[in-house]
Amino acid sequence: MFKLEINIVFWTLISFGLVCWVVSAKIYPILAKMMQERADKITGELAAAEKQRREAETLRAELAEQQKNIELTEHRILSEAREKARVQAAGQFEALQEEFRALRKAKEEDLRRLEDDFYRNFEERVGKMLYTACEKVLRVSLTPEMQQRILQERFEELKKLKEF
Amino acid sequence: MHESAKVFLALHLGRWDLSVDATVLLNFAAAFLLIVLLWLITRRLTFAPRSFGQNLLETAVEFMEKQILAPAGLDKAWLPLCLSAFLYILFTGLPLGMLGLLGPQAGLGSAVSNINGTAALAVLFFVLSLFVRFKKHGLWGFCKSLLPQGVKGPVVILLLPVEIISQLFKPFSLAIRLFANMSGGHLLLISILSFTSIFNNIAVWLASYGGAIVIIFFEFFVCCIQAYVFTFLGASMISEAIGEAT
Repeated sequence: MFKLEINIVFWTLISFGLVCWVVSAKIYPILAKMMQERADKITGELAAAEKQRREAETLRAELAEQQKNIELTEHRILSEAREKARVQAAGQFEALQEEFRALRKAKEEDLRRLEDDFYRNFEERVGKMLYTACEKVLRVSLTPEMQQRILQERFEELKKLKEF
Repeated sequence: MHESAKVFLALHLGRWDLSVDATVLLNFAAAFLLIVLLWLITRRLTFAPRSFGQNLLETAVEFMEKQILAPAGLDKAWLPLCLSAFLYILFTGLPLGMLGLLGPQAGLGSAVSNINGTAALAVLFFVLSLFVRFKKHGLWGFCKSLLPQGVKGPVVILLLPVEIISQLFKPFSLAIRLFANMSGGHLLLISILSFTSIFNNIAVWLASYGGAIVIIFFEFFVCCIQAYVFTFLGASMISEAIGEAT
């Protein structure tokens, strides 16, 4: 059977009120402040991390763009260098060919001259040899009378020339 | 058992008996223990929680926010009241379990196993909800907020008494639910332990005390559930008072 016990009602309200006051005024504000600060810190750090992630993404995109540009530039420079080298090589080849032709022509001239000299010398030497050989043959074959006659004929010719 | 509770300090204020008996003393002991524990925890608060107490208290606060205030639709301003109610019921209920083996025979009982104690808490929440409703909506809004939305004409005459009775029954249901749940385990404990005085047998003693230990643990669980249910219904009552704008 229900029996109203005022003392329990009263002291329950008093003790609950006391607990409520302690929690409201002394415990919860400190705890809530700390929890809020922690939540703010976590939120701030998450926001900072998110910001840094976005920055890193931007930097990565920029880096990728730069890398792409570098690759394009590299490709362009290489293509230009190849083209320039090809043109230079073609020019140099032409110049070298020209030089080679000139040199060849000069060498051919030299060779021709040397050949001419050689033949001339050869002819001279052969002539001399023939002359010497003929001289030797003649010395052997000409008798003193024939020599005398020949000298006489030369003297005659000289006389005629002198007269002339 | 409460009728036999021992009076430690006889106090009378006119016709009112404000004596401090075992139940009141147990309530104060629980409240004192709660306050001391909270003080010890908050004295050693660290930014990164390391102590078990701080973790437990922060878990309780987050539990209040997410499981009571958010579903009830209340803001954080009501958290201290809800946290106080939850912890108070928990701490005044748990000594009953802790002293369960001694309590029933020694006539001990806490506020939450006494209908007067639970009624005091339920009426407090009810009065608070009425005050909030009155403050929020004014006198006319207060009367209008008692009726469901859209009710007009003669139906008002029919529905108004029903709604008033339904409002008045809320603290009753709150008080009786908490009292019945808490004292149910208590009575079961008494019943089981009473076998030891009927049968003077070692087997009965072992079975009785073994069963009592199991029930004590079950009472811990029931106490936690009831603290949550009472706080949630109290918060819902206040939320209903705040939100019912007509």
